[in-house]
Amino acid sequence: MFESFYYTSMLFKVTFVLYLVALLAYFVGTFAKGKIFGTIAISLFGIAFLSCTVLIVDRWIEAGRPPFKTFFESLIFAVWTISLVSIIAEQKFKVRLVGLLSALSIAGIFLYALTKRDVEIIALPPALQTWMFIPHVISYFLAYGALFVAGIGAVLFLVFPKGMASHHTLGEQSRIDFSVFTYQIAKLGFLFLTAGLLLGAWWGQSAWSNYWGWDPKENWALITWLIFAAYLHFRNIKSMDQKKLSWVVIIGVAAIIFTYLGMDYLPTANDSMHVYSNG
Amino acid sequence: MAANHTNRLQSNHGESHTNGSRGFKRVSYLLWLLILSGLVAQNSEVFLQKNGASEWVSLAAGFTVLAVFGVLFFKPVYKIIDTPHFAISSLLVIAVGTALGTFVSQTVPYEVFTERYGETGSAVLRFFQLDDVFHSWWYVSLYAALGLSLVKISLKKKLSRENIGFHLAHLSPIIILFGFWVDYFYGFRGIIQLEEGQAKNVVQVYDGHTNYLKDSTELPFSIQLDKFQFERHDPDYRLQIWRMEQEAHAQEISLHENQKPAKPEILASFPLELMKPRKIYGTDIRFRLTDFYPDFTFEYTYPDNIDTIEARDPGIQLELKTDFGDAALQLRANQPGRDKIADEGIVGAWMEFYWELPAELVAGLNKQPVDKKLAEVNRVIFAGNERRIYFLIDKKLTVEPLEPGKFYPIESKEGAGFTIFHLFPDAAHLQAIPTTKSEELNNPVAMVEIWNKTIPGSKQAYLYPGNAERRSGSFEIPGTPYFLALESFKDMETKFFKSDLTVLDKNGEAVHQQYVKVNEPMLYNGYRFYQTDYDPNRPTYSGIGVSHEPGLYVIYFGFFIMVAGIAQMFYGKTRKQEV
Repeated sequence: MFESFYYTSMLFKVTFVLYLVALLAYFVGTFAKGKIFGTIAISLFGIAFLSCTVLIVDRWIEAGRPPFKTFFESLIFAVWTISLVSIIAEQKFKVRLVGLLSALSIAGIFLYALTKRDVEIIALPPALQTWMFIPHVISYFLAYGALFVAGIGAVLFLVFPKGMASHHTLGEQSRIDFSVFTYQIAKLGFLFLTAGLLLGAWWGQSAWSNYWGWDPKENWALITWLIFAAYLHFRNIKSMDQKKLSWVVIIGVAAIIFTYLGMDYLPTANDSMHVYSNG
Repeated sequence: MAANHTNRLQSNHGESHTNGSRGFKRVSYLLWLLILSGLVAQNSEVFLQKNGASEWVSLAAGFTVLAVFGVLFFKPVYKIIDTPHFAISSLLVIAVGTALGTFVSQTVPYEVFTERYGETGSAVLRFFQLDDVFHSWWYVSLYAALGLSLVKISLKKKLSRENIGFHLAHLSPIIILFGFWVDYFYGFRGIIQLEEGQAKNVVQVYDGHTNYLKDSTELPFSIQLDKFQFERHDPDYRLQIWRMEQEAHAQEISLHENQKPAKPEILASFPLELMKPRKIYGTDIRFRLTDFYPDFTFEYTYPDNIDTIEARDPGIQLELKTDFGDAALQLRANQPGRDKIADEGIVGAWMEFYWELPAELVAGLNKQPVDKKLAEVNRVIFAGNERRIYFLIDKKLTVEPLEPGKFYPIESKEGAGFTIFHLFPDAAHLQAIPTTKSEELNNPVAMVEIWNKTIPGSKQAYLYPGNAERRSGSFEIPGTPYFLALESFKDMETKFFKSDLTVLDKNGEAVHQQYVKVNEPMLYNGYRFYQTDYDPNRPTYSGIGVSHEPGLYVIYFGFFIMVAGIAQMFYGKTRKQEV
């Protein structure tokens, strides 16, 4: 782990450390009284996010191609989208706890990314040498980032079913209902999930003359879409138990993680063209 | 603010009032019945066909089962089909069905499937159609039911400006499923396998279920492959740190697993930045790139005052020109084995170097005609001190003065010859300076300096990549498991495949010309042509994928209105509730 960290780029090191600092600030900001701590926390988190942006752009320039090819690159991009959605959600709902959990997850993703570090820059195979795959990947990772944050909201609802006083900028006390938070963020995620799925089909048609091939990764993308589509329809049943609904979101996030990481474990994965090439 | 959201959610969807769990029970009961009917229907079809019934009879029997279900349960199904309970249940059941299709191998050959899951296991899986979920009747029936529900929902809800998004989002899956269905029945996907110069109009068609080639179809025109190109990325050489697996560890493995060779692991790679010090983690070993030669060679220099130097270790430095390319050659008079090359095949003559010609050789050369034994082979004899070259070619002797820089052809072999770079009396004064012949990456070599904080002085090493003819030159750092190397990974990936195609009409006239690449298909007359296949062993072969998908634009239209509809539904301006 330390060896891997040693050989990463300076920008990676700086970004990682900035996220750790933001995490620490969130610990203080969530539990200490005083608005200023929260402001410091989100500011530091914002700085880490900017650093992550620079890291991705730098990689894009160095590799001479969008940095969405390897598993390692995709993990860094996942960090970026989780940060973005988390910042937006925190500003909109004025809740610091989500930022804390996002920062904690991001630290975990960074540690995991270290074990999957790219040593070499890999060139793109012909199928990926098209701008068409860029909106597909960006949509998907925005969706994954948003649905991950929605998942954090679902967990928070289970812990705080009665809601929580949010840190309001005007000092007014108002309560945040995490089921509403989850729904609002999941809606955003679902829109991008749909766009990502359909852009993928559109690109697949141009690259493999096939918009849908019942490939395991495609199937699991469909499964996650179906789960969140079902979740959105649950809202139409008045008497629905909100706790059960939170579990639907958590299962949906688990399906996303399985789609992202679990394809190697499927017997049908051998012929998948989506499974990341470097282990 | 948060409270407003809750109110909004509850007031928006006031249309469905069916109660919680009771609604789900009824829906799931009917969905299970639907799945069961699908299974019975398809199994009866399979059973009848296995027992000799014609395709039509067995298909009709299968449909009858589904039709019976439809008639019997139409009323209760239609009643619940527009409830959120139905939407949720069918979406989740399809999700589970899709997941099953990823846990079990799909559409593998019959024998392979049986071997993988055993006699009983595979029979059970086949009964539930889990060997081909995505084309099974129960799976497709679920989509049909979902489509029906969407139709009813769309018809029921009055169209207004406010719910346009709702309608688009709920109509789009029907449109996509319709396009899918059109392609399934009226489209095909296949391949034309071509050699350069060949033209064909017969397409081998893939089976829609299994993706195996099944039959063929004819196009109303022919496709000719004019040229196929295949190129890799340009190499990008980088300095790399590798580690051999720890020796103790490697031995342990070899004891347990029949001597698996230790696998080197790459730890880091760096761009070729000159003089930038790098450190190996966990050690105090540092190294830096001191020089990089894209097209490495040695340049020899020798002092000008050649006559004043004593002939202690004389020799000659030549560049040979042969059919196999140019090669540097050094002949040394006092070193047995290095004083001549006896290879008439490649150069056309033996080449020998003497500082002073031996007396018997002079005698043999001076005979008229030249000594028979001596003239048996063609010879080029260099006499260093007297600065002469004796060409003994086809039993005829010619003598020429030895001049550095001049090119001498060898008459016995067309195209063969040599240039003299240096004639030297003492090799100790000859200096080999590494240099590059050009800026092209023909023979890349990196020179690195390795040092250790505790030990004064440094080591120099040449690193070069391996290729088909030679192993790579890496530097193992003594006493450590680390080694340094110069390699490129980038050129392992293909840059592009490209086929130049010409469309020929019935009379063989060229009517259209275009190239196809991956991601750049050719659209002609409703048919799409793709770069899909190549063979590394057949550079003139190209596999051109062909698809005819009349439903494609319908599907794209469905995609578009689905995203637009969902966006409008969630964030449309006509909804005033957004704060």
